[in-house]
Amino acid sequence: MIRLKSKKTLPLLFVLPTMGILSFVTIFPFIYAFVLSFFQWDYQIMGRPFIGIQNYLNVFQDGRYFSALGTTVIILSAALGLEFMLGLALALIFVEEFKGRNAALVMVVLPVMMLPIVVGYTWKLLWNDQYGPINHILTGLLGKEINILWLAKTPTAFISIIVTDLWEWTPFIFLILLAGLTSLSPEIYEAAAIDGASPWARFRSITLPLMRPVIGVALLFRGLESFKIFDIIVALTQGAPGTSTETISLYLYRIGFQYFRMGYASAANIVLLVAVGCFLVVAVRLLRIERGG
Amino acid sequence: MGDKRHIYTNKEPKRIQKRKNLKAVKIARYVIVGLAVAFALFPIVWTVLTSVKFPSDILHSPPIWLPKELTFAHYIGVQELNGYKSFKDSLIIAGLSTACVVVIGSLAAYSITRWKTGGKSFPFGLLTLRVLPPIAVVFPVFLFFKELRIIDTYLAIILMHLVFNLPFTVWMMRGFFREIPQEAQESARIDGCSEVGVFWRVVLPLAAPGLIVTAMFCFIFSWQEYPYALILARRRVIPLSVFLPSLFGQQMIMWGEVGAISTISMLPLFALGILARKYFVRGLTMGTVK
Repeated sequence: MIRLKSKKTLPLLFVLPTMGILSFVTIFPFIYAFVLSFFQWDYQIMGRPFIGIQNYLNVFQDGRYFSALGTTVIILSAALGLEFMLGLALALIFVEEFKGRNAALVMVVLPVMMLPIVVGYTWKLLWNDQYGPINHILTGLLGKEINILWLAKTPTAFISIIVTDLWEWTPFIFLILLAGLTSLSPEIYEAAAIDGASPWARFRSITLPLMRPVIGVALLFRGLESFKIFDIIVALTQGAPGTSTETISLYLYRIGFQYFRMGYASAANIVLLVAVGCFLVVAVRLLRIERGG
Repeated sequence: MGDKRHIYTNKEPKRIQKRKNLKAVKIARYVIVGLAVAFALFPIVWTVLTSVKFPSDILHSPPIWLPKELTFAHYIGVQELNGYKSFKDSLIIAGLSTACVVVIGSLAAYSITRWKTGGKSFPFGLLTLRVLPPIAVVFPVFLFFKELRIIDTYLAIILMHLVFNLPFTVWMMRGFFREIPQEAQESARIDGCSEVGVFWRVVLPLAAPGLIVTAMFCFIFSWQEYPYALILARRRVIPLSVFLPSLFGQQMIMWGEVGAISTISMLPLFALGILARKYFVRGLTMGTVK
């Protein structure tokens, strides 16, 4: 009797806590925010008048919103591109056996373990124009006095953020690519070597095509994470100079928690969530096609 | 078969040329690996060194690489700033959220693997929750939690850490459960074991290594997390990631204390990371690449 009953209820019983918690902390608040996005709820203004879709119209006319999106995309693509190239180069080196390989691997991967906010402050000290070591190292390397105010000017602030990001996340892409390379069968390479294919030809016509799905996963995962970039920006520049390095997460944080424009923040958040959702659907489709074909 | 093809037809000069090339490749490889290791370690070493330098050495221009004298005053300074309380808060949040997530998540993962609950795309649907920008998620949550009066509690932060750790756990454990041979489960069922019994006595013990690795990663993710904690922590509960920025903003930056708290925050993670290094890729990519 009990067994028969459990055949149907047990599976549901097992997923219930997960579903309960996740809907409690995502779906309900989302509905709440959706409702709120049709009201004007500002810190300075009394009452919460219903204003229809005005908040959404405002979002689409908000230059700072789109420039923050642009900043995010610039940082994301530059960092992702560099991380991919460095990660791939390292993976191609580490895929072969050499003395001290395991020890080197552990050390190279350490940055991924750090708290992103700690990474940000660590590099804030490194970039410091007076007592940070980066200007000092550059002075030594180039043989002339280098005194760059890294975080105070727009182009160098971007460079600083991108280098900091790539320091933390290159190991991540490196590890995924390394795992992909390790799983390729060595026989294909042996055959190609016998046929007299040069290393570059082997890389281009064997490694790259076979690695495409893995590369896709690595770039998608890292790209989606990168889009959320917040911790490093808070630590390094806080969007300065001006709002030139302000990313979308930082701007959303400011609308909601510094300017206390609750209704507007709700609308801005929902627009972003919908955009990310659409992007995700497209990206996953592309990955599936890649895998299927 | 393959060996037979390597007939030594190469002429002598060619072989010497090849050996020279090999040596050059070897040296180049060590140079690159050395540079990569130096680049990876340098900021970490600099932070640790900062934590034991005297303030006058930290704020010296040009920077002092190796201080002549060391001090542990910053680690005491951290105590005065309540930094170790934050360490404890982080430990409680990461520990409790990991414990919750492992129990709840593996139940769901088992249901999904065994009975295909929720259909084929359900696990992936869960996974997409991880992608949502935390700031966008936490904003409505903040308003919601404010109504419930649970801002600034362990509960609030732990709940939000479940948002990214639950999908992760379900996804990871699903992979581990799949690898468990069906025969073991079948024979237990034939012996009259109930479904709960099969899960508890057969499946869980066999998946224990996977469970431990998953738990380690959940702990690491929770420990590293910043945006949720920033918004839900106020005065009573301050995890390390929120404590650290509080050392800035005044006229003077306490770099020594920043170095000390950074060093302290890294230690548990490095320990866990080295323990779990075999499963690193699996954890980071949630088993999409093995």
